[in-house]
Amino acid sequence: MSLNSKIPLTMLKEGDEGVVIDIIGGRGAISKLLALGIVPGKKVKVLGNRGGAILISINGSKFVIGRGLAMKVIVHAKQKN
Amino acid sequence: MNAFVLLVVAITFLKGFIVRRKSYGFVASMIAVIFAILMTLVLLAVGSFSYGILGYLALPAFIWYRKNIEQT
Amino acid sequence: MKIAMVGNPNVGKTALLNLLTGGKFEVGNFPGTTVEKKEGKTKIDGKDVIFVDLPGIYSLEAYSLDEKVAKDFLTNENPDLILNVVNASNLERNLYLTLQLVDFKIPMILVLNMIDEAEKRGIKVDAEKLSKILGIPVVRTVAVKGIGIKELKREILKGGSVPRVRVGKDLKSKLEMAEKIVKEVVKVEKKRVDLTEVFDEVFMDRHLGIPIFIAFMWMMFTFTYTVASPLTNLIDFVFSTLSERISSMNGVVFNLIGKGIIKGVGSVLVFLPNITFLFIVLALLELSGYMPRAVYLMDRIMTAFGLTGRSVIPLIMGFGCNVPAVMATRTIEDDKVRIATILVNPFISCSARLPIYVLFAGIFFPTIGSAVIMGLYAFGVAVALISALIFRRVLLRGEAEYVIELPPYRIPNWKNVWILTWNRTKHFLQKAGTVILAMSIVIWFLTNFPTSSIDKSYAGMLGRLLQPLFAPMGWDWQFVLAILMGFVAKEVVVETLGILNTPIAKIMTMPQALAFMVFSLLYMPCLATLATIKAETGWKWTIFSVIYSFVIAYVLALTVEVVARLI
Repeated sequence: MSLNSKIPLTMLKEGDEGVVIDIIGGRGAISKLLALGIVPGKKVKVLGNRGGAILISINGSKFVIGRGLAMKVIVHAKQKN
Repeated sequence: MNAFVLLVVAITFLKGFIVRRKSYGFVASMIAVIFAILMTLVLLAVGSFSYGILGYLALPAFIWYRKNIEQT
Repeated sequence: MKIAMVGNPNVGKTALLNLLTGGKFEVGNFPGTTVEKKEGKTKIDGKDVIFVDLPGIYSLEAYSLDEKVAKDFLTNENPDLILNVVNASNLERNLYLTLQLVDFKIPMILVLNMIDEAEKRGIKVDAEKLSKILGIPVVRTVAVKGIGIKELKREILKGGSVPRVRVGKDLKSKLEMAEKIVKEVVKVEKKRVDLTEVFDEVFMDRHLGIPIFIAFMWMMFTFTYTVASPLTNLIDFVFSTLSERISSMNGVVFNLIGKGIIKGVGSVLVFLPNITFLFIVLALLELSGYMPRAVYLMDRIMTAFGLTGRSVIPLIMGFGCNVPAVMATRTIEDDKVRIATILVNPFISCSARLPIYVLFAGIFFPTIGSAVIMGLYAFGVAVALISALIFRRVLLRGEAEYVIELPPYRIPNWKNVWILTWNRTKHFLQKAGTVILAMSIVIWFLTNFPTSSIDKSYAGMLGRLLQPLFAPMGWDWQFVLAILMGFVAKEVVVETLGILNTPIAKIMTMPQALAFMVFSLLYMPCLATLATIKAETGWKWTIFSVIYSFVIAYVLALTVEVVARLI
């Protein structure tokens, strides 16, 4: 995983961290996520990714995001130390 | 299915011991107590006994975990 | 004075409304929608005040129905004051909405709720500074404990003030503004171990998460059906005694009241304890914060069938009774997934169908009876899941884009559990009650005229008339009549065969019996379930449900009969 990789949220594994850089998709999807604080620039941590919905922690809140919607969240994966 | 609940409680306790995390014992004892309350209600409602009532035995454990969990 | 209460979901608005109105508020719907509207009238220091609790929303972009309803209310109804309730633990996110409310130029008060929870998590909010930045009064409260209510009432009487904060119209600048404000007013100290983390570690455990969920579901099931059963029996006893007493009096009117109305309405009211008990558990699951965790755990399995994790609980409930199960779908936000979950629910074999299996399996499969019964249950689940997949691929297409917040775990407050339970139960009584009353009268007429002996009544004639339709399966007219009557409630199938003294073993073969059981499993939601489906989805989907399940039942029963005969 290169440092500059732009990948959908669903590609992160459990325990991985990243930074949200973009949300692609319709205005409905975008506004739904933005209103919840899932915004470009925020650090996101994947707490669970077991094939279905994704469990994330962002901004001190936890969210379950359906896989379809999570595909639209583009993140910058952080290199693990 | 009642046996299944007790099995889940037992395995959760066990995992707690293996991975040395108090959280598992805490949740397991909580489920055991909730189940015991439910089985008491069943006993009162339809008169059928279940060993789930023995879940009250986990009450002291639950209280202990509740007090000590914050130092994990 | 008209006051609109606006805030995110899970911020304690209902508890606050309850406190401000002394529990005197009505739950209805916003005109022309299914969005819940809570309205309460009260007096504060002699002044008449009306509180309208708008649905919990994250923004006012008007993309969801809830958001649209809230926006329309604020634009068209000219409230005198907005109570913006925010969760102190999560100020930044709550402030997006606050900053959107600023655009309406309506006087506001910010209610900083759940400060106790925030403090437990080590979060401190400087209310005075926040008030200065926004230019509106800020009141700190703990609604469930009644803390801060006096101060809030005082501020309400002062009427709040129009926000003076300057912020751009677009969401992006509001987001930046919220972040900036939070940096100034919120301090986070290192906290002790958060109990939410403790619970999540175990409840969402890779291996134990699903078993624990199943254990909870079993407990919910036991509570809903076993613990409620004395009450169910009591209601059954009261209604059947009343029905017999009244119908034993002479005259058609008494007969109608006793055997038609009371018996029919009673046949649905016996579900009332189950429904109430189920709603208690659902309220506990929702208010404790466990529900969204269960959604995550089950999502993978359910998405394979076009549903989401949200559909699991309603489907499991269906094994007990489809009526509360259909009502449990109210927690599903996505309308298409919700309708699909409702439509397939009747295929989950409810407890009322068990007597049918027991009767026929006992006669035709004396040695492997329980295996046959288990097989029928599994068959029902398979039909439900495959139907769900078909619906979502053909009729109800579209991705279910959902995102749910996982709130911290909380010990549910009994008052809130009761409010939720009672409102939902009342809704069931109102909506289902009217349809059932009408249907009871129709069925009474069919079974009692021209004569009251069932095989010579219109219903009996109908049974004979419709028999050719079922001739391919080889069933006698008694079985057709039993199926017809079973529409009221599936347990009536067995009852009807009893009244008719049907010599089942003599006039039916094993393949026919198997087909009959499959047909009974699938053929049509019972009256009470249909009434509930109608209340939840409207006529279109109700009629669809009847036709779809009938066709599926017919085709599969015939297949089973043919296959069983060949083997």
